[in-house]
Amino acid sequence: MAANDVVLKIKGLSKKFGITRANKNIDLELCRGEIRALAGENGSGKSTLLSQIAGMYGSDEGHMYLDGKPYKPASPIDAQENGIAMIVQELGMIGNLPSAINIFMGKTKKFSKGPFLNTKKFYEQAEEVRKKWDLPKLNFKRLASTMNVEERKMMELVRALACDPKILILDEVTQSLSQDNRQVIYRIIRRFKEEGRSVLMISHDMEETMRISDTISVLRDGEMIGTVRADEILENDLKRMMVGRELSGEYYREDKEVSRGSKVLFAMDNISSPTGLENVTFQAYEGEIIAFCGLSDSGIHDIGQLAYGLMKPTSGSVKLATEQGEIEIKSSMDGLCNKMAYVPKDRDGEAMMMKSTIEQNLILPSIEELHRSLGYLKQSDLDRLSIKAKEDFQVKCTGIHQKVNALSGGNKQKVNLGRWMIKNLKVMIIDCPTRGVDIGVKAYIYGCLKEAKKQGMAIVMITDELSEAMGMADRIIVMKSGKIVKEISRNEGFNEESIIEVMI
Amino acid sequence: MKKIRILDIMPILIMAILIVIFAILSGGNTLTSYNIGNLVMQMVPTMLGSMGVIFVIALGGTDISIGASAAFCATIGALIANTINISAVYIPITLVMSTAIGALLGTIVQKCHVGSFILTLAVLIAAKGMMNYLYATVMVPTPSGMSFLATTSFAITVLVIAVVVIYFVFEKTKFGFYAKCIGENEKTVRCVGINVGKIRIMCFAISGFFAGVVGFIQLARIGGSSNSLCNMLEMRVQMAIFLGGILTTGGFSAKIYKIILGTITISVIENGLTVIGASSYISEAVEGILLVAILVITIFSNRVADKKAELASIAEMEAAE
Amino acid sequence: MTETINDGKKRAGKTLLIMLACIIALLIIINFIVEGKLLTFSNIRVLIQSAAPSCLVAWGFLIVFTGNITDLSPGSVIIVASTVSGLMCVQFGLAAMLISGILTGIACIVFNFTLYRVTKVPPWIAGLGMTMIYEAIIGAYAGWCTNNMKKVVTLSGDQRAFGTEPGIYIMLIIGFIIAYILYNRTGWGVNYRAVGDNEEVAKIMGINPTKTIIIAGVAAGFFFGFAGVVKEAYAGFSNAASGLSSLGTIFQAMAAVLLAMALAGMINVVIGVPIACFIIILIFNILTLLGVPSGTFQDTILGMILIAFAVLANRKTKGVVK
Repeated sequence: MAANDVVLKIKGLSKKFGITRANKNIDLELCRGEIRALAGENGSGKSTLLSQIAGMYGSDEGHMYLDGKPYKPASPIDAQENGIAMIVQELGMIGNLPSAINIFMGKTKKFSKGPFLNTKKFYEQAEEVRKKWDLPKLNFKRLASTMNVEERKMMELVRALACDPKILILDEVTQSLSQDNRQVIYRIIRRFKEEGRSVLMISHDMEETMRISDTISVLRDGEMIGTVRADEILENDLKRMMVGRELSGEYYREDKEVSRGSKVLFAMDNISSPTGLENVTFQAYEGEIIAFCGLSDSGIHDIGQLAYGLMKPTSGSVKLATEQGEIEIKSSMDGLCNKMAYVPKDRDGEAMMMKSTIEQNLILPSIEELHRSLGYLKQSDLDRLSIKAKEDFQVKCTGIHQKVNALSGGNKQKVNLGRWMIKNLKVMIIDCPTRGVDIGVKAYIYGCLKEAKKQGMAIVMITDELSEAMGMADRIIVMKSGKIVKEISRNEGFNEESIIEVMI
Repeated sequence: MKKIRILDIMPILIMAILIVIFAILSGGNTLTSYNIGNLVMQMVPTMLGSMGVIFVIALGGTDISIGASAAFCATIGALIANTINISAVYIPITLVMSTAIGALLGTIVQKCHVGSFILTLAVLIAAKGMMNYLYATVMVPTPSGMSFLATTSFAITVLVIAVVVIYFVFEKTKFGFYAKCIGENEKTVRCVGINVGKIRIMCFAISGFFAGVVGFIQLARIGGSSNSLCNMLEMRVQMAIFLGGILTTGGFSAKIYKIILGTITISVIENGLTVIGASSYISEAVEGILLVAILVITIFSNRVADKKAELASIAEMEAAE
Repeated sequence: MTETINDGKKRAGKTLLIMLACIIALLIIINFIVEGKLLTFSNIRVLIQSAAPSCLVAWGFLIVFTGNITDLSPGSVIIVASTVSGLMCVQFGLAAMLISGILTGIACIVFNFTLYRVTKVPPWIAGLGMTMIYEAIIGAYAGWCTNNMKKVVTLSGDQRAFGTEPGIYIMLIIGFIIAYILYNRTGWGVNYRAVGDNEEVAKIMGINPTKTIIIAGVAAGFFFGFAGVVKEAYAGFSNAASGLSSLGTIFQAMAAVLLAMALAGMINVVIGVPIACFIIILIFNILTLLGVPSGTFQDTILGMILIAFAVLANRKTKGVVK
């Protein structure tokens, strides 16, 4: 393609978050009418790069050129005015305003005479955009909080298309959509190509990536590995490019057989929840790792809350084996006091007290065992436990009195897991154990899980990463819209395509 | 070695400066033994009240109903004791009522998601209304034989016991630890599996209990109920807590020694203003300005300290890489 | 989809109608009990007039609460605005009264909002500090007046045009129109509601939260200043407050806003505010007619109403509440 066809050119772009380098020296050229996919493992820096282009994050180093002119978006609105619109993975919206106002939020000047708004025009314009791009019908007067995930995605799409973009950025848009609406997205992508506009996209679905895109750029650990033509590369070669090193054998389990005890330690019996789970039943055995997989709205993350008694099921029961025999978990205290643990997904927001010290975070789950009569906590007991945990789990820090928010993501995760692992646990529910940590810490965490399994702990791992589930689990349970749709044992051999097929 | 941060010594510094300023302004009148005795007696209700409210502050909430609740419960307690002519029920009734009100408030915050500030403010108004009614309709003297409650030695004894017990409960037990953890991040405590609701209700109940303690002592000292009984107690307690350098978000910034410092500071200010003969509006303005200024300074210096710690650890990590 | 929404609206409308019918039935019964003193033309007129100042205050609070700001200093700000406007009225006449009152309100609230925004001090506690300061300012002035054997400010006759018939009705209607347009029909109104709902998302959508909130200070300050003027004109005098007693003066308005927010699903909040105000004034009128003394049990009931409405308004709230 000729050089003047280049619409967006990126040179040496870098971005740091605290001490983690999300992007290092990225170069990229995007042509008019090109559909470019970004591929790479979680944490490879794809989303960061797209967010930089769309003006959500600034850049520490490097330059971008749009149509040959320097381009430095100050905000997403600035990017939209320059013709670059993005649909983000986890969207935010203003729940108590109608969707049409959400669509034009931040751009309301167009609809005002002086300070006054012409609210009618909002709905007309939104409808106009919808018709122009032939999108499914939407009621623009509804409050955004009353819309479901798909409708909100469509609302976001209208918001992005309303600025008539030259470049449309899609960050994992299709994964939460039904087939009909996926077709809508594919149609829009094709139309962009015909009209000489460009698309930048991320999709976790490999097959989709290869089918839709013209070219694929591969990122790994924040670095640009290379760009290939989609019709010239095989899926397996692409995967090798993404993973790079032959890492998979090293940190995951190497055995291909189920290995577990015969005693059931934990069971969920016919659980239904107010959030839409229906009749979920499973047993976890001694020394078994069960992985729950599913799309973000499949309800897998509710499993943890229900299992630990944090959410009351509408029907069914949760059972835990203890030394005194089987008990039913009615409140979270039942789990805490009977060798069970729950590690939530949102580490910084839910699992940790960010502004407290390492010690305070480490001792929190052990207080019920540490205290003496009258609830007395002896400082030396606390220190002993936290120093042991800190050393056992190799937390890199200046001391147990350092504040947690000063630690790197990996070390935070070590504190988060370590405080449970030093307890003599029988059952552990863990939601996304390796979210936001680098490869070294990942390997370390898998090591801990393997060790715990050897000790006979039953581990229920809820994960968004299929490779992790396939690498670690004895059994994978796939969920879709609140129901268990498939259960695969390690003996049968895990196969990525077949799992994705049932997930969607 | 722990470094001494400016933030940690700031309350002591402010207290010392204020003592000196008022001593100079009053020509030494604030330092007479008579005035110091006065000052100590002024501190008793504030410190007793804050011993309870500190638990709610640790949660990240607040309780400004204590003044009105103290007055109302003590009045009802005395009224019943006088009516049935058994003085011994005065204290138990007062404490049970005030603790129950506290527990009820905790329950409403927990179950109905109403902010503790608005809720306790509404209770303050409601209880004040009842007090005005009682004041206008019945005379409630101190129950007979209860005048020993008014003595200085009794008040000091109660205060010392309260401080020792609360120091133990707040700083050295799992209950105090959990309460502070809730202030740091309520979701964490919930996800770990601890019953947040129970702890919250107990914290409010303790706050109510101490309101009752202040109530029965203050009523005895005035000699009977009055519609100005325990007026502004809640504001003095708030001021004491924040002057001591405790963050409004609670958590591990809440410490008993800070309350003691804060109580002394606010009492020195109020007493000093009275001794130098400042009018009520000047006193109010000084207190208002101090409250805002101290809050700004506490928050600002905490932010600076956090930032510094973060930068230091980033540098350290990078050096280690 | 569209049908279900219309159904929803119809259902909400029906509930509203049933509620109204119940209220009217209840009123007729109570009217009977109090021997017909409630539903007389002159009594209703008196009620509307006494609801007017707190209605203006309530619109101000609606703006304050929409931004998730719990600032209780407006009670004292209103007293400052009342006194200033009264003084200006005596000196320079009605126009000066209106302008000076409103400007005072705006200046105070914008100062507060800027303080909260810049220093990140939680508004509820800093607001109490500001209340003490504003109370002290007026207290100092009142003290000076007493020392010089003067009355603080008293208005009479034509000077009270904004607070007597028909002026007070006009003020109420003007307030309503401004509140409605600001809240529903301006770019700022939409942006501000977005900031109050989710500041992070609003920021990504290109809104400048600080600017929006400071403008909110202007809008809320306008209403508090305006309320101060109407209050001064309605009563003819204003009392200084001390020891946070100004907090008590805004409770009716706060209860009204919370009620309007609880009814937000059925009726636009800006319209809900005057209705809620009237209902609350009505309740107190009934209590008075039933012989419940004001200042005592009425305050108790006010506190309970406030708690009840706060529970109602927060019934859908999830997550952490401090």
